[in-house]
Amino acid sequence: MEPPPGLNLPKKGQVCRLTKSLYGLKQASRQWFDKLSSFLISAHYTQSNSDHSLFIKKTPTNFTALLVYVDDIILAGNSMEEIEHIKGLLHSTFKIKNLGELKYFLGIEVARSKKGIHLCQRKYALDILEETGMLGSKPCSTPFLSDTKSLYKTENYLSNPSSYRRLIGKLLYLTNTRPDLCFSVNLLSQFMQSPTNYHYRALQHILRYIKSSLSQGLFFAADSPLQIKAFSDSDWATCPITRRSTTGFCIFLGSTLIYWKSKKQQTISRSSTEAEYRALATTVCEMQWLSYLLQDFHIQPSATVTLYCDNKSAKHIAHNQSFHERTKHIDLDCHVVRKKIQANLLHLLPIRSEEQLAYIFTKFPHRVQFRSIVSKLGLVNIHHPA
Amino acid sequence: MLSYDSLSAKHLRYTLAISTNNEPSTYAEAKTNPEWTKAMEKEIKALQDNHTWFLTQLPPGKTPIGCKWVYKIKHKADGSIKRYKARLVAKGYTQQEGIDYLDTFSPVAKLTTVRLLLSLAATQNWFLH
Repeated sequence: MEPPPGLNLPKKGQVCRLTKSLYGLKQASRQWFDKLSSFLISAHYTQSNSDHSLFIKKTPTNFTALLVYVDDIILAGNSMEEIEHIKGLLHSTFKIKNLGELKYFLGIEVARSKKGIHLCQRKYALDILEETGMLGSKPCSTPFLSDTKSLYKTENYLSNPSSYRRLIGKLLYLTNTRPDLCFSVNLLSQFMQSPTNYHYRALQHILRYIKSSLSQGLFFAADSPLQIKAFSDSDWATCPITRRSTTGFCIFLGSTLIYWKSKKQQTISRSSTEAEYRALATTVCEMQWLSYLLQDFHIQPSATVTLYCDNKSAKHIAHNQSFHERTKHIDLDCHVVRKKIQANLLHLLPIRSEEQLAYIFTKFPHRVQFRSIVSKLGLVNIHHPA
Repeated sequence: MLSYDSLSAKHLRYTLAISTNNEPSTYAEAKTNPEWTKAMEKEIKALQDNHTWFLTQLPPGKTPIGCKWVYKIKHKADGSIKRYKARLVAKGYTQQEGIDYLDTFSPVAKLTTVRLLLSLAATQNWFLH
Protein backbone atom coordinates (compact mmCIF):
# COMPACT_ATOMS: atom_id res chain seq x y z
CA MET A 1 0.00 0.00 0.00
CA GLU A 2 1.14 3.54 -0.59
CA PRO A 3 2.29 5.09 2.66
CA PRO A 4 -0.49 7.31 4.04
CA PRO A 5 0.13 11.05 4.04
CA GLY A 6 1.30 12.05 7.49
CA LEU A 7 3.47 8.98 8.09
CA ASN A 8 7.15 9.72 8.62
CA LEU A 9 9.26 7.54 6.34
CA PRO A 10 12.87 6.84 7.19
CA LYS A 11 13.74 6.20 3.54
CA LYS A 12 12.14 7.56 0.40
CA GLY A 13 10.26 5.25 -1.97
CA GLN A 14 9.18 2.81 0.70
CA VAL A 15 5.71 1.24 0.76
CA CYS A 16 3.66 -0.42 3.47
CA ARG A 17 3.26 -4.16 3.22
CA LEU A 18 -0.04 -5.02 4.90
CA THR A 19 -0.02 -7.88 7.34
CA LYS A 20 -3.53 -7.25 8.57
CA SER A 21 -6.76 -6.26 6.93
CA LEU A 22 -7.66 -2.63 6.60
CA TYR A 23 -11.02 -0.92 6.20
CA GLY A 24 -11.97 -0.66 2.53
CA LEU A 25 -10.04 -3.66 1.25
CA LYS A 26 -12.00 -6.13 -0.84
CA GLN A 27 -11.26 -8.94 1.59
CA ALA A 28 -11.99 -6.88 4.71
CA SER A 29 -15.37 -8.46 5.48
CA ARG A 30 -14.13 -11.97 4.79
CA GLN A 31 -11.10 -11.55 7.06
CA TRP A 32 -13.34 -10.25 9.81
CA PHE A 33 -15.77 -13.16 9.56
CA ASP A 34 -12.94 -15.73 9.49
CA LYS A 35 -11.45 -14.24 12.61
CA LEU A 36 -14.78 -14.07 14.43
CA SER A 37 -15.83 -17.60 13.50
CA SER A 38 -12.53 -19.18 14.53
CA PHE A 39 -12.80 -17.31 17.81
CA LEU A 40 -16.33 -18.63 18.41
CA ILE A 41 -15.34 -22.17 17.52
CA SER A 42 -12.50 -21.97 20.02
CA ALA A 43 -15.12 -20.92 22.59
CA HIS A 44 -16.94 -24.26 21.97
CA TYR A 45 -19.59 -22.93 19.64
CA THR A 46 -20.54 -24.96 16.58
CA GLN A 47 -21.33 -23.34 13.26
CA SER A 48 -24.69 -24.26 11.77
CA ASN A 49 -24.69 -25.76 8.29
CA SER A 50 -28.09 -24.35 7.42
CA ASP A 51 -27.12 -20.74 8.05
CA HIS A 52 -23.39 -20.18 8.33
CA SER A 53 -23.78 -17.07 10.41
CA LEU A 54 -25.47 -19.01 13.20
CA PHE A 55 -23.41 -20.39 16.07
CA ILE A 56 -24.79 -22.69 18.74
CA LYS A 57 -23.52 -23.91 22.09
CA LYS A 58 -25.41 -26.69 23.81
CA THR A 59 -24.71 -28.22 27.17
CA PRO A 60 -27.09 -30.59 29.01
CA THR A 61 -28.77 -27.68 30.76
CA ASN A 62 -27.84 -24.60 28.78
CA PHE A 63 -28.54 -23.52 25.25
CA THR A 64 -27.07 -20.42 23.63
CA ALA A 65 -27.41 -19.23 20.06
CA LEU A 66 -25.40 -16.46 18.46
CA LEU A 67 -26.37 -14.86 15.17
CA VAL A 68 -23.84 -12.69 13.34
CA TYR A 69 -24.59 -9.88 10.90
CA VAL A 70 -21.10 -8.48 10.19
CA ASP A 71 -20.49 -6.76 13.52
CA ASP A 72 -24.05 -6.81 14.82
CA ILE A 73 -24.62 -9.85 16.96
CA ILE A 74 -27.80 -11.27 18.51
CA LEU A 75 -27.44 -13.55 21.50
CA ALA A 76 -30.27 -15.77 22.67
CA GLY A 77 -30.36 -18.48 25.27
CA ASN A 78 -31.72 -19.76 28.52
CA SER A 79 -28.65 -19.03 30.62
CA MET A 80 -27.86 -15.44 31.51
CA GLU A 81 -24.46 -16.60 32.82
CA GLU A 82 -23.34 -17.95 29.45
CA ILE A 83 -24.60 -14.84 27.64
CA GLU A 84 -22.65 -12.57 29.99
CA HIS A 85 -19.62 -14.84 29.66
CA ILE A 86 -19.49 -14.78 25.86
CA LYS A 87 -20.23 -11.05 25.84
CA GLY A 88 -17.23 -10.46 28.07
CA LEU A 89 -15.04 -12.55 25.78
CA LEU A 90 -16.27 -10.72 22.67
CA HIS A 91 -15.65 -7.41 24.34
CA SER A 92 -12.12 -8.22 25.43
CA THR A 93 -11.10 -9.72 22.06
CA PHE A 94 -12.88 -7.49 19.56
CA LYS A 95 -13.98 -4.44 21.60
CA ILE A 96 -17.58 -5.25 20.66
CA LYS A 97 -19.94 -3.02 22.59
CA ASN A 98 -22.55 -4.47 24.86
CA LEU A 99 -25.87 -2.86 24.04
CA GLY A 100 -27.84 -4.82 26.62
CA GLU A 101 -31.22 -6.28 25.91
CA LEU A 102 -32.13 -6.50 22.22
CA LYS A 103 -34.08 -3.40 21.16
CA TYR A 104 -32.81 -2.43 17.73
CA PHE A 105 -31.19 -4.65 15.13
CA LEU A 106 -30.46 -3.70 11.50
CA GLY A 107 -33.07 -0.97 11.62
CA ILE A 108 -35.71 -3.29 13.06
CA GLU A 109 -37.29 -2.20 16.32
CA VAL A 110 -37.85 -5.05 18.76
CA ALA A 111 -40.41 -4.72 21.55
CA ARG A 112 -40.95 -7.47 24.08
CA SER A 113 -43.69 -8.17 26.59
CA LYS A 114 -44.96 -11.24 28.42
CA LYS A 115 -47.28 -11.95 25.50
CA GLY A 116 -44.54 -12.04 22.90
CA ILE A 117 -42.20 -10.08 20.66
CA HIS A 118 -43.15 -7.40 18.17
CA LEU A 119 -40.95 -6.34 15.27
CA CYS A 120 -41.44 -3.19 13.26
CA GLN A 121 -39.49 -0.75 11.11
CA ARG A 122 -41.40 2.39 12.04
CA LYS A 123 -38.33 4.63 12.04
CA TYR A 124 -37.15 3.25 8.71
CA ALA A 125 -40.59 3.73 7.15
CA LEU A 126 -40.74 7.31 8.46
CA ASP A 127 -37.33 8.04 6.95
CA ILE A 128 -38.51 6.79 3.55
CA LEU A 129 -41.62 8.97 3.72
CA GLU A 130 -39.58 12.00 4.77
CA GLU A 131 -37.07 11.51 1.99
CA THR A 132 -39.72 11.22 -0.69
CA GLY A 133 -41.74 14.13 0.66
CA MET A 134 -44.76 11.90 1.20
CA LEU A 135 -45.23 12.77 4.89
CA GLY A 136 -48.14 15.04 4.08
CA SER A 137 -49.84 12.67 1.65
CA LYS A 138 -53.25 11.16 2.02
CA PRO A 139 -53.13 7.69 3.59
CA CYS A 140 -54.90 4.79 1.89
CA SER A 141 -56.00 1.34 2.93
CA THR A 142 -54.30 -1.00 0.42
CA PRO A 143 -50.82 -0.97 -1.12
CA PHE A 144 -51.93 -1.56 -4.69
CA LEU A 145 -53.73 0.27 -7.46
CA SER A 146 -56.76 -1.46 -8.92
CA ASP A 147 -55.47 -0.98 -12.44
CA THR A 148 -52.53 -3.28 -13.18
CA LYS A 149 -52.77 -3.14 -16.96
CA SER A 150 -51.11 0.27 -17.09
CA LEU A 151 -47.99 -1.23 -15.52
CA TYR A 152 -47.28 -2.99 -18.79
CA LYS A 153 -47.67 0.07 -21.04
CA THR A 154 -44.56 1.08 -22.92
CA GLU A 155 -44.78 4.84 -22.78
CA ASN A 156 -44.03 7.73 -20.42
CA TYR A 157 -40.63 6.44 -19.36
CA LEU A 158 -39.03 8.17 -16.41
CA SER A 159 -36.13 10.35 -17.49
CA ASN A 160 -34.20 9.67 -14.29
CA PRO A 161 -34.84 6.10 -13.09
CA SER A 162 -32.20 6.07 -10.35
CA SER A 163 -34.49 7.51 -7.67
CA TYR A 164 -37.10 4.88 -8.54
CA ARG A 165 -34.49 2.14 -8.19
CA ARG A 166 -33.26 3.50 -4.87
CA LEU A 167 -36.78 3.69 -3.51
CA ILE A 168 -37.51 0.10 -4.58
CA GLY A 169 -34.37 -1.03 -2.77
CA LYS A 170 -35.52 0.67 0.39
CA LEU A 171 -39.02 -0.77 0.17
CA LEU A 172 -37.57 -4.24 -0.37
CA TYR A 173 -35.77 -3.89 2.94
CA LEU A 174 -38.99 -2.70 4.56
CA THR A 175 -40.70 -5.96 3.51
CA ASN A 176 -38.58 -7.71 6.15
CA THR A 177 -41.29 -6.96 8.68
CA ARG A 178 -44.07 -6.12 6.21
CA PRO A 179 -45.30 -9.16 4.26
CA ASP A 180 -48.36 -7.11 3.27
CA LEU A 181 -46.14 -5.06 0.93
CA CYS A 182 -44.28 -8.04 -0.46
CA PHE A 183 -46.19 -8.69 -3.68
CA SER A 184 -46.65 -5.03 -4.64
CA VAL A 185 -42.98 -4.20 -4.17
CA ASN A 186 -41.91 -7.40 -5.92
CA LEU A 187 -44.09 -6.62 -8.91
CA LEU A 188 -42.79 -3.06 -9.20
CA SER A 189 -39.19 -4.22 -8.78
CA GLN A 190 -39.54 -6.15 -12.02
CA PHE A 191 -39.51 -2.85 -13.89
CA MET A 192 -36.27 -1.46 -12.50
CA GLN A 193 -34.65 -1.40 -15.92
CA SER A 194 -37.07 1.03 -17.53
CA PRO A 195 -39.67 2.35 -15.11
CA THR A 196 -42.53 4.45 -16.43
CA ASN A 197 -44.64 7.14 -14.89
CA TYR A 198 -47.33 4.51 -14.12
CA HIS A 199 -44.87 2.57 -12.01
CA TYR A 200 -43.92 5.69 -10.14
CA ARG A 201 -47.57 6.39 -9.42
CA ALA A 202 -48.01 2.84 -8.10
CA LEU A 203 -44.97 3.37 -5.90
CA GLN A 204 -46.51 6.51 -4.45
CA HIS A 205 -49.61 4.49 -3.71
CA ILE A 206 -47.52 2.04 -1.67
CA LEU A 207 -46.00 4.96 0.24
CA ARG A 208 -49.48 6.28 1.05
CA TYR A 209 -50.43 2.84 2.36
CA ILE A 210 -47.27 2.78 4.50
CA LYS A 211 -48.28 6.14 5.90
CA SER A 212 -51.55 4.67 7.11
CA SER A 213 -49.79 1.80 8.90
CA LEU A 214 -46.40 3.01 10.14
CA SER A 215 -45.97 0.75 13.15
CA GLN A 216 -47.38 -2.31 11.46
CA GLY A 217 -45.15 -5.28 12.11
CA LEU A 218 -44.87 -8.95 12.90
CA PHE A 219 -45.96 -10.31 16.24
CA PHE A 220 -44.40 -13.47 17.66
CA ALA A 221 -46.72 -14.85 20.31
CA ALA A 222 -45.20 -16.54 23.34
CA ASP A 223 -47.89 -19.25 23.44
CA SER A 224 -47.45 -20.36 19.85
CA PRO A 225 -47.09 -24.12 19.20
CA LEU A 226 -43.98 -25.40 17.43
CA GLN A 227 -45.37 -26.76 14.21
CA ILE A 228 -44.36 -25.77 10.70
CA LYS A 229 -47.37 -24.86 8.60
CA ALA A 230 -47.21 -23.47 5.11
CA PHE A 231 -49.51 -22.04 2.47
CA SER A 232 -48.56 -22.20 -1.17
CA ASP A 233 -50.21 -20.42 -4.06
CA SER A 234 -49.47 -19.40 -7.61
CA ASP A 235 -50.84 -17.08 -10.22
CA TRP A 236 -50.65 -18.45 -13.72
CA ALA A 237 -49.10 -16.20 -16.36
CA THR A 238 -49.09 -13.07 -14.20
CA CYS A 239 -46.83 -11.24 -16.56
CA PRO A 240 -48.57 -10.68 -19.93
CA ILE A 241 -45.26 -10.07 -21.68
CA THR A 242 -43.24 -13.14 -20.67
CA ARG A 243 -46.25 -15.32 -19.75
CA ARG A 244 -44.44 -16.49 -16.65
CA SER A 245 -46.30 -17.29 -13.44
CA THR A 246 -45.80 -16.15 -9.88
CA THR A 247 -45.00 -18.30 -6.86
CA GLY A 248 -46.19 -17.16 -3.47
CA PHE A 249 -45.84 -18.87 -0.15
CA CYS A 250 -45.87 -18.15 3.55
CA ILE A 251 -44.57 -20.39 6.29
CA PHE A 252 -45.68 -20.25 9.91
CA LEU A 253 -44.16 -21.63 13.05
CA GLY A 254 -47.36 -22.30 14.95
CA SER A 255 -49.21 -19.01 14.80
CA THR A 256 -46.27 -16.80 13.89
CA LEU A 257 -45.28 -15.97 10.35
CA ILE A 258 -41.54 -16.35 9.83
CA TYR A 259 -40.98 -16.77 6.11
CA TRP A 260 -42.73 -15.63 2.96
CA LYS A 261 -41.86 -14.94 -0.62
CA SER A 262 -43.33 -13.75 -3.87
CA LYS A 263 -41.33 -14.58 -6.96
CA LYS A 264 -41.76 -14.75 -10.70
CA GLN A 265 -41.20 -18.33 -11.85
CA GLN A 266 -38.22 -19.02 -14.07
CA THR A 267 -39.97 -21.17 -16.63
CA ILE A 268 -43.23 -20.84 -18.47
CA SER A 269 -45.98 -23.15 -17.26
CA ARG A 270 -48.49 -24.58 -19.68
CA SER A 271 -51.32 -24.76 -17.18
CA SER A 272 -52.30 -23.27 -13.86
CA THR A 273 -51.91 -26.72 -12.31
CA GLU A 274 -48.33 -26.86 -13.44
CA ALA A 275 -47.62 -23.39 -12.03
CA GLU A 276 -49.22 -24.49 -8.78
CA TYR A 277 -47.14 -27.67 -8.68
CA ARG A 278 -43.94 -25.70 -9.20
CA ALA A 279 -44.92 -23.38 -6.37
CA LEU A 280 -45.48 -26.43 -4.16
CA ALA A 281 -41.99 -27.71 -4.97
CA THR A 282 -40.41 -24.36 -4.06
CA THR A 283 -42.33 -24.23 -0.80
CA VAL A 284 -41.37 -27.79 0.14
CA CYS A 285 -37.67 -26.99 -0.32
CA GLU A 286 -37.94 -23.91 1.89
CA MET A 287 -39.82 -25.89 4.55
CA GLN A 288 -37.07 -28.48 4.48
CA TRP A 289 -34.50 -25.76 5.11
CA LEU A 290 -36.52 -24.44 8.04
CA SER A 291 -36.77 -27.87 9.62
CA TYR A 292 -32.98 -28.26 9.34
CA LEU A 293 -32.63 -24.92 11.07
CA LEU A 294 -34.99 -26.06 13.83
CA GLN A 295 -32.85 -29.15 14.29
CA ASP A 296 -29.83 -26.90 14.74
CA PHE A 297 -31.73 -25.05 17.42
CA HIS A 298 -32.40 -28.46 19.06
CA ILE A 299 -36.14 -27.87 18.81
CA GLN A 300 -38.40 -30.86 18.26
CA PRO A 301 -41.45 -29.85 16.19
CA SER A 302 -44.70 -30.88 17.85
CA ALA A 303 -46.26 -32.36 14.68
CA THR A 304 -45.55 -33.23 11.06
CA VAL A 305 -45.15 -30.30 8.72
CA THR A 306 -48.34 -29.38 6.91
CA LEU A 307 -48.72 -27.71 3.58
CA TYR A 308 -51.99 -26.19 2.38
CA CYS A 309 -52.82 -25.89 -1.27
CA ASP A 310 -56.10 -24.78 -2.88
CA ASN A 311 -55.56 -26.40 -6.27
CA LYS A 312 -57.18 -29.85 -6.51
CA SER A 313 -55.31 -31.04 -9.60
CA ALA A 314 -51.90 -30.09 -8.21
CA LYS A 315 -52.78 -31.97 -5.05
CA HIS A 316 -53.81 -34.95 -7.15
CA ILE A 317 -50.51 -34.99 -9.06
CA ALA A 318 -48.59 -34.80 -5.81
CA HIS A 319 -50.45 -37.75 -4.30
CA ASN A 320 -50.65 -40.05 -7.30
CA GLN A 321 -47.96 -41.40 -9.50
CA SER A 322 -50.30 -41.73 -12.43
CA PHE A 323 -48.50 -40.79 -15.59
CA HIS A 324 -50.30 -37.83 -16.83
CA GLU A 325 -50.24 -36.83 -20.46
CA ARG A 326 -50.08 -33.20 -19.44
CA THR A 327 -47.39 -33.44 -16.77
CA LYS A 328 -44.66 -35.42 -18.48
CA HIS A 329 -42.67 -32.31 -19.33
CA ILE A 330 -42.50 -31.08 -15.72
CA ASP A 331 -38.96 -31.12 -14.43
CA LEU A 332 -38.02 -34.03 -12.24
CA ASP A 333 -36.97 -31.75 -9.41
CA CYS A 334 -40.60 -30.71 -8.94
CA HIS A 335 -41.43 -34.22 -7.80
CA VAL A 336 -39.64 -33.55 -4.53
CA VAL A 337 -43.17 -32.91 -3.27
CA ARG A 338 -44.28 -36.45 -4.14
CA LYS A 339 -41.18 -37.98 -2.51
CA LYS A 340 -41.78 -36.16 0.76
CA ILE A 341 -45.42 -37.17 0.88
CA GLN A 342 -44.53 -40.82 0.25
CA ALA A 343 -41.92 -40.72 2.98
CA ASN A 344 -44.63 -39.38 5.31
CA LEU A 345 -42.60 -36.26 6.04
CA LEU A 346 -45.28 -33.94 4.81
CA HIS A 347 -49.06 -33.61 4.91
CA LEU A 348 -50.55 -31.94 1.88
CA LEU A 349 -54.00 -30.71 2.77
CA PRO A 350 -56.68 -28.91 0.78
CA ILE A 351 -57.91 -25.50 1.77
CA ARG A 352 -60.71 -23.32 0.54
CA SER A 353 -59.61 -20.45 -1.67
CA GLU A 354 -61.05 -17.88 0.75
CA GLU A 355 -58.76 -19.16 3.49
CA GLN A 356 -55.67 -19.27 1.33
CA LEU A 357 -53.28 -16.90 3.13
CA ALA A 358 -50.64 -17.01 0.40
CA TYR A 359 -53.15 -15.29 -1.87
CA ILE A 360 -51.70 -11.84 -1.15
CA PHE A 361 -48.27 -12.96 -2.38
CA THR A 362 -49.53 -13.71 -5.89
CA LYS A 363 -52.52 -11.46 -6.53
CA PHE A 364 -54.19 -8.25 -5.52
CA PRO A 365 -57.25 -9.23 -3.49
CA HIS A 366 -60.24 -7.09 -2.72
CA ARG A 367 -59.74 -4.55 0.06
CA VAL A 368 -61.90 -6.46 2.54
CA GLN A 369 -60.16 -9.76 1.84
CA PHE A 370 -56.78 -8.04 2.00
CA ARG A 371 -57.49 -6.72 5.47
CA SER A 372 -58.74 -10.08 6.70
CA ILE A 373 -55.63 -11.90 5.41
CA VAL A 374 -53.28 -9.27 6.86
CA SER A 375 -54.78 -9.74 10.31
CA LYS A 376 -54.45 -13.52 10.01
CA LEU A 377 -50.79 -13.21 9.07
CA GLY A 378 -50.11 -11.95 12.58
CA LEU A 379 -49.44 -8.39 11.54
CA VAL A 380 -50.08 -6.02 14.41
CA ASN A 381 -49.96 -2.26 14.57
CA ILE A 382 -48.71 -1.46 18.06
CA HIS A 383 -49.25 2.27 18.02
CA HIS A 384 -52.74 1.99 16.65
CA PRO A 385 -55.52 2.89 19.08
CA ALA A 386 -57.28 -0.44 19.59
CA MET B 1 -45.70 19.38 8.40
CA LEU B 2 -42.10 19.12 9.46
CA SER B 3 -40.45 22.20 10.83
CA TYR B 4 -37.56 22.90 13.17
CA ASP B 5 -39.95 24.61 15.62
CA SER B 6 -41.47 21.32 16.69
CA LEU B 7 -38.16 19.80 17.75
CA SER B 8 -37.15 19.79 21.39
CA ALA B 9 -34.31 22.14 22.38
CA LYS B 10 -31.94 19.20 22.85
CA HIS B 11 -32.84 17.62 19.53
CA LEU B 12 -32.55 21.00 17.79
CA ARG B 13 -29.01 21.51 19.14
CA TYR B 14 -28.07 18.05 17.86
CA THR B 15 -29.61 18.60 14.43
CA LEU B 16 -27.88 21.95 14.06
CA ALA B 17 -24.55 20.54 15.21
CA ILE B 18 -24.55 17.70 12.71
CA SER B 19 -25.53 20.00 9.88
CA THR B 20 -23.12 22.89 10.61
CA ASN B 21 -19.82 21.27 11.61
CA ASN B 22 -17.75 20.84 8.52
CA GLU B 23 -15.51 17.87 8.07
CA PRO B 24 -12.49 18.17 5.77
CA SER B 25 -12.46 15.99 2.68
CA THR B 26 -8.76 16.07 1.85
CA TYR B 27 -5.51 15.63 3.72
CA ALA B 28 -4.31 19.09 2.72
CA GLU B 29 -7.40 20.62 4.31
CA ALA B 30 -7.13 18.56 7.49
CA LYS B 31 -3.39 19.19 7.93
CA THR B 32 -4.00 22.83 8.79
CA ASN B 33 -6.21 21.96 11.77
CA PRO B 34 -4.42 20.79 14.95
CA GLU B 35 -7.43 18.67 16.04
CA TRP B 36 -7.34 16.62 12.85
CA THR B 37 -3.53 16.30 12.93
CA LYS B 38 -3.83 14.90 16.42
CA ALA B 39 -6.54 12.46 15.32
CA MET B 40 -4.42 11.20 12.42
CA GLU B 41 -1.37 10.73 14.63
CA LYS B 42 -3.52 8.71 16.99
CA GLU B 43 -4.87 6.47 14.19
CA ILE B 44 -1.38 5.87 12.76
CA LYS B 45 -0.10 4.97 16.20
CA ALA B 46 -2.98 2.53 16.71
CA LEU B 47 -2.32 0.87 13.33
CA GLN B 48 1.42 0.63 14.06
CA ASP B 49 0.77 -0.80 17.52
CA ASN B 50 -1.35 -3.48 15.88
CA HIS B 51 1.46 -4.21 13.41
CA THR B 52 -0.93 -3.66 10.52
CA TRP B 53 2.00 -3.13 8.13
CA PHE B 54 5.76 -3.02 7.88
CA LEU B 55 7.78 -0.76 5.63
CA THR B 56 9.58 -2.27 2.69
CA GLN B 57 10.77 -1.50 -0.83
CA LEU B 58 8.19 -1.99 -3.56
CA PRO B 59 8.85 -5.24 -5.48
CA PRO B 60 9.50 -4.57 -9.19
CA GLY B 61 6.47 -4.68 -11.45
CA LYS B 62 3.92 -4.15 -8.67
CA THR B 63 1.65 -1.20 -8.03
CA PRO B 64 0.73 -0.24 -4.51
CA ILE B 65 -2.92 0.06 -3.44
CA GLY B 66 -3.94 3.64 -2.79
CA CYS B 67 -5.27 4.88 0.52
CA LYS B 68 -6.94 7.96 1.89
CA TRP B 69 -8.07 9.57 5.09
CA VAL B 70 -11.71 9.85 6.02
CA TYR B 71 -12.62 12.45 8.61
CA LYS B 72 -15.66 12.31 10.83
CA ILE B 73 -16.80 14.31 13.80
CA LYS B 74 -18.51 12.21 16.45
CA HIS B 75 -21.22 13.97 18.41
CA LYS B 76 -22.66 13.42 21.82
CA ALA B 77 -26.43 13.29 22.17
CA ASP B 78 -26.57 17.00 23.13
CA GLY B 79 -24.74 18.05 19.98
CA SER B 80 -21.37 18.83 21.57
CA ILE B 81 -18.33 17.27 19.95
CA LYS B 82 -17.28 13.95 21.40
CA ARG B 83 -14.19 13.39 19.30
CA TYR B 84 -12.51 14.01 16.00
CA LYS B 85 -12.12 10.72 14.24
CA ALA B 86 -9.67 10.13 11.41
CA ARG B 87 -9.78 6.75 9.74
CA LEU B 88 -7.34 5.40 7.20
CA VAL B 89 -9.04 3.43 4.45
CA ALA B 90 -7.56 1.45 1.59
CA LYS B 91 -8.84 2.11 -1.91
CA GLY B 92 -10.14 -1.41 -2.37
CA TYR B 93 -11.50 -0.61 -5.81
CA THR B 94 -7.93 -0.46 -7.19
CA GLN B 95 -7.42 -4.11 -6.32
CA GLN B 96 -7.68 -6.63 -9.14
CA GLU B 97 -9.33 -10.00 -8.72
CA GLY B 98 -6.90 -12.89 -9.06
CA ILE B 99 -3.86 -10.66 -8.49
CA ASP B 100 -4.60 -8.87 -5.25
CA TYR B 101 -7.35 -11.05 -3.85
CA LEU B 102 -9.13 -14.35 -4.39
CA ASP B 103 -12.29 -14.91 -2.34
CA THR B 104 -14.37 -12.14 -0.85
CA PHE B 105 -17.53 -13.94 0.16
CA SER B 106 -18.56 -13.61 3.77
CA PRO B 107 -21.85 -14.88 5.11
CA VAL B 108 -24.43 -12.67 6.79
CA ALA B 109 -27.47 -13.79 8.70
CA LYS B 110 -30.59 -14.37 6.64
CA LEU B 111 -33.49 -12.34 7.87
CA THR B 112 -35.56 -15.50 8.03
CA THR B 113 -33.12 -16.94 10.54
CA VAL B 114 -33.39 -13.73 12.55
CA ARG B 115 -37.19 -14.08 12.59
CA LEU B 116 -37.02 -17.78 13.46
CA LEU B 117 -34.60 -17.05 16.31
CA LEU B 118 -36.84 -14.31 17.68
CA SER B 119 -39.99 -16.42 17.41
CA LEU B 120 -38.25 -19.26 19.24
CA ALA B 121 -37.01 -16.81 21.85
CA ALA B 122 -40.63 -15.75 22.38
CA THR B 123 -41.95 -19.29 22.85
CA GLN B 124 -38.97 -20.72 24.75
CA ASN B 125 -38.68 -17.64 26.94
CA TRP B 126 -35.01 -17.09 26.08
CA PHE B 127 -33.01 -14.05 27.05
CA LEU B 128 -32.22 -11.81 24.10
CA HIS B 129 -29.20 -9.53 23.86
